[in-house]
Amino acid sequence: MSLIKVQNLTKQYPDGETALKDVSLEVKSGEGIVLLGANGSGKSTFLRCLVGLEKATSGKILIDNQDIVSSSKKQLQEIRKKIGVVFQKFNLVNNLSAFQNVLFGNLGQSNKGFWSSLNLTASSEEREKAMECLARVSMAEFADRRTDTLSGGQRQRVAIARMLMQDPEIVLADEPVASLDPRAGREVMNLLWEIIEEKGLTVMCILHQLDFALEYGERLVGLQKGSLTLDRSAANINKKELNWLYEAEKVVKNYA
Amino acid sequence: MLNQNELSVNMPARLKKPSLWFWLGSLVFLIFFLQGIVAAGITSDRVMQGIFNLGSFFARAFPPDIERFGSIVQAMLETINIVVVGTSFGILFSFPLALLASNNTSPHPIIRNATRTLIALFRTVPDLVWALIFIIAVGLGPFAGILAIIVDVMGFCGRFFSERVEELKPGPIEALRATGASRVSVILGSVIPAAFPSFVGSSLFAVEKSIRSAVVLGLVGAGGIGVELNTSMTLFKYDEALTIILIILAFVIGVEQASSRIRKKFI
Repeated sequence: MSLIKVQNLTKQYPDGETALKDVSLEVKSGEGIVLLGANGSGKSTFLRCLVGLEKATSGKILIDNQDIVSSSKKQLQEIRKKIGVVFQKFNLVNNLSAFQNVLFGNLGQSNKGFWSSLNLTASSEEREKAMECLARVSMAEFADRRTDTLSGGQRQRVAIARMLMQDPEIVLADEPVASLDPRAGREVMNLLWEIIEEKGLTVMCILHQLDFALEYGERLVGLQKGSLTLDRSAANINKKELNWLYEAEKVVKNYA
Repeated sequence: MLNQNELSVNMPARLKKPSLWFWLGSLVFLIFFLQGIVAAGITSDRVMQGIFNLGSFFARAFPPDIERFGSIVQAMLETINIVVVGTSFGILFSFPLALLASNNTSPHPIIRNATRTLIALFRTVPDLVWALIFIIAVGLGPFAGILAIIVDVMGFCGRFFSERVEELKPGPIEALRATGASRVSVILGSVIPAAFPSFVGSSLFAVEKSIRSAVVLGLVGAGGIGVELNTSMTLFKYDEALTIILIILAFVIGVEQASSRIRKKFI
């Protein structure tokens, strides 16, 4: 049975621009998918639709058999709890401490809501768990630092700790290392994949670096102008074929 | 080779002819300006007389009379009370108002527009007019002053808080939404902390503004030092009036200094 099941997903913006056209995809529990595509191919929109940050125009997105597209606000919140998101720009609350940011990973989990995620009022178990998450990404010593005083790599580690705090089944990562230098990028990528493997999480990750894509992805999915044009196991694909994805414009014109 | 004739034809004029609206606008302005001078009866005689009168006011005001120092200080304390209580409630009420009025936190466009209109109303009606209205409602005294300050601060802070909230980067807000957090949790966890330094800055400006307002509020009977100043003036006790003015001056300057120091520390 599939954990994520996308059926005929179409996303059209109010200005008439079609970001996604009839995309269908099934992801099994524990699979590691790398999403590829040129700028504007719709891959970010796709990921955002999966967690309901963008509302799909038509189609279905089933997460654990629950449809995100037709769900109510409350149901959407329930589904989101299972999905951890890692962003390109980290998206931490910058004038708070790393520790507080990690605690916020708990926001959706507890029924007590905000107060169980605030440093001042969180229970000692929750605070301990947040420290463990920070320690897992080797950031325990920076717990009390404001995140705007940390480097890019350190901030992404904190963001990963926040995702860990959430205890998700699925991880969506939107170019998690695109804002980092090559070395920090490599470290963060290794860390993220270690954690994913250790917890047996299902992951869908947008990457721009083809080397990374081939190295980390089990299954590569490519989007071109909003349509799914590639879906293959990483074992039987080479870099040349991937480059083709980024020459979309030319190819489409030639065949038009 | 350049065609000399073509160059001179295409050269922009030194001055473009102003439109009819410009002439019309200038004419209207000029009429109101001249009519204003005539209507106010500004003549050189009166200007001279005015300077002389000012001189005699200061002559009678010196030395400042400190006979009623105690009751003046007490009235000043009332003004401080009005400022502290009014501004505190005003800032407190501004938070929900601003969140309802900002397009990234408001639950519904209708609510957003309604609160925006309310804030605009609070801001556009002058504080003295609010004071007059509240005097009718709750009678003369500091309570009317407090209500006037609350409304005035809500008009000011409501707008600046909401502008700051709308400028916030969407990233951190989305990150918390994506964890499955409720709307309130997202606002408490990301909107408020991210906008907090700016909230402090605006609130300090509101304090400075409220002090100047609160002083004047007494003139219409809404409590505080303004009442004393009004009485001294109408009884021609200019030396006592000067004492009051000096106390106000010292206090306002003191608060503005303190406020700018706190602001520097915070932002």
